[in-house]
Amino acid sequence: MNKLLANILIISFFCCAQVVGQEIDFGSYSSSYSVTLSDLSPSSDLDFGTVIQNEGVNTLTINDAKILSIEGVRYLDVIVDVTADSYLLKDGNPTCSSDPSCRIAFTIQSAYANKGQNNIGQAIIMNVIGQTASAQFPVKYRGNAPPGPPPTPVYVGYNPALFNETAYVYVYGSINVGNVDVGSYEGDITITVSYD
Amino acid sequence: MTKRILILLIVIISSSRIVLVAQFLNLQIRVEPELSASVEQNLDFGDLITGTGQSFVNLGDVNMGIFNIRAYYTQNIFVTLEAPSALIHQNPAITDEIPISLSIAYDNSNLPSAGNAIILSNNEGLVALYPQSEINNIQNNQVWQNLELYVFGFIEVGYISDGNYIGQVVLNVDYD
Repeated sequence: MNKLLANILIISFFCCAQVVGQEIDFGSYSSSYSVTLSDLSPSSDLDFGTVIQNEGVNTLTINDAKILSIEGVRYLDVIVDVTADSYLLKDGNPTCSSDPSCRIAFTIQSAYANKGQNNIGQAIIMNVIGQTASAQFPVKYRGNAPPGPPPTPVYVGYNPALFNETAYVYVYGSINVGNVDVGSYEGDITITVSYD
Repeated sequence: MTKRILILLIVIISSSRIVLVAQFLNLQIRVEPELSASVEQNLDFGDLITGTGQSFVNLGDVNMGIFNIRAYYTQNIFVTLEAPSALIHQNPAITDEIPISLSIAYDNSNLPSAGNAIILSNNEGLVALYPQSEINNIQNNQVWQNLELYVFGFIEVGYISDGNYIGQVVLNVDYD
């Protein structure tokens, strides 16, 4: 009888499309919750200063980082991906991607701070694979405390500001300038944020 | 069967990630040349009469030759002036020559002028783009510095054939 029951359970598990783990995935229900990603200083770029031919590696530390803020529900996790082009190309010309004389190698680095303050002293460096720095973290750091309660459902008169917090993302990196042509080089960095 | 389960799980996890927001940063960099050199003014002894003898263009004269070098302020350069010992007639069939002796001087101050120029012995020497004594006081808008090099000297015109006499002066600039 017990054996029969086990077989029935296994069969029903694979028959049904609902595979549910032990994680409560609030992301499945988070379409009602907004998250805002903002550039704190849109008028300034990552500033490598004066760059000259054959300069070699020029590194911007977190102190010189571009800072973005993430405003979202404080007890939800966000997944942040920061992806950069491998090369800055002269005048953005795609044919330069295979031409060492008109491309500059770029290495992305990124960090986040989720203790409610824009404070690089609290920043945690993201793991980088290839040209993508990634991290998953709660919008508001909870330390060793257990996860908070489920998000408050959206209701009439719901005020997201009551449940929101701001985390900060720092984007920086380094370039390696070889014997390249003089001129203007450009590339893109894409930052995406989603609830887990 | 195990393989099937894994695929199913991956699909479900992917579908639960809802990308809500994205930002795009454009990264732009301007690459400057390490060093550039240009001729600001040719050395010009003017029209001379046969048998004039020595004719000078002195340091600071309006018709001295001027080179300009632009580089990053921390750059040091080694300058060598290669000058012929004589000017030759433009017509190769005429063998007359005009002996010439040239010197070179530089000024690496903020406001370069021949009056403050330093003459290089043997027409060569190591020159800093910016005075080392003031290098800690550099401002952001002064990181690209101009160095002026002045070429001057004399020629000796004997009783020679009329015509144009020419020579080529080459300034070699070596830098790291």
